Amino acid sequence: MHAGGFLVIGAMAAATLKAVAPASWLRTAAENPLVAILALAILAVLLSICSEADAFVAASLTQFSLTAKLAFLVVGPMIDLKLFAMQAGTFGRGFALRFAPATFALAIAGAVLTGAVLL
Amino acid sequence: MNRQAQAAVLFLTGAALLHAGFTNLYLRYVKAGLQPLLLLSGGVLIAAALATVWYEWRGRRENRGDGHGHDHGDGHVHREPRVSWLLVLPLLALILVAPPALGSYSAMRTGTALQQPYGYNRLPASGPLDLTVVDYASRAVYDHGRSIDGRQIKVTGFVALDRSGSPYLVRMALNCCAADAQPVKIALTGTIPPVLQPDKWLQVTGTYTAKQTKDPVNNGPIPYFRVTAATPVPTPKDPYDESWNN
Repeated sequence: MHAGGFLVIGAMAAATLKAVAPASWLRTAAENPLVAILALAILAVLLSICSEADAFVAASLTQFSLTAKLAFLVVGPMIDLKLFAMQAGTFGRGFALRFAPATFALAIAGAVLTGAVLL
Repeated sequence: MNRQAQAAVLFLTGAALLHAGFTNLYLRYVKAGLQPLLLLSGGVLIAAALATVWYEWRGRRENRGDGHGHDHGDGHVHREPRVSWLLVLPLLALILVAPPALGSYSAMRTGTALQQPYGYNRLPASGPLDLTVVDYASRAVYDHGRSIDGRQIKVTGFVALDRSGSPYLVRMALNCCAADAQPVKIALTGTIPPVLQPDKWLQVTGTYTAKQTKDPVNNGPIPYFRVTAATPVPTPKDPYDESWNN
């Protein structure tokens, strides 16, 4: 019941941002490779899509580089709004505030390194 | 939130899930394949609610019966913090509002998700063709209309208007749930009905045309469709296209 309340907060934030944030900002972000990676990583956090479906969403982001799409796929399951809300609820706000940015940075670093070597 | 309130919220959430799962309501939010899981989780929630009530009732009776000398070490009532009350919100939304499936608002703010398909199903050799929005769009864009040129075609989708008022026929395609639903769009030309309302479902009859445009949101290709007739149709049982990418 406790975690459920936080899940509701996370879901509300994700749904609101998805409905309100215009998708056109992505188009300007796609031009610069570094900004593109960061933009898709942030998008993964905001959209909070489950890992079953995010590959299809990544496939439709055609204007982005492969590394940026990889960052989208890696960051999404690691940290997103509903996970952050659940962590804040279960482990406390202080822990979540330190843990979430660390996961975010680590996921991006992992994606960029893999992308640089393999893609 | 005390035990009784917890049980009530759990029970109502479970009942709402069962209701959505047994009617077609759940198809607005998740794919059809998730129905068994939805019903199962509704059942589990109701069982949890009943168990909560039962433990509460038994605990009270024991406390009353031999309250002395029989210490549980857990004398206080088990309470959940206030944040749990937020669980009532999605419940109320489902009962009172029952949010509609994603429509023209989301469709026009997201770029078309049209992808090159791995292959095309063979079409009947004669007669009018009944195609989905995704099927028409991918044949028109990636097959250059070879299999549909000169045929009479019927397509069903909902209407969306862009900022300048040009009409599109859209179907949202979905892989798992409404959170990942993405639009596939066809632009309409030819004899379009004079008054078009966004989100109304239409079956348009017409032919292939080679004309194409770019989606302003993501530069994706949008094929045109030359309309000869359009009839309003009721919203389909499953508003999403689930054949997508399968």
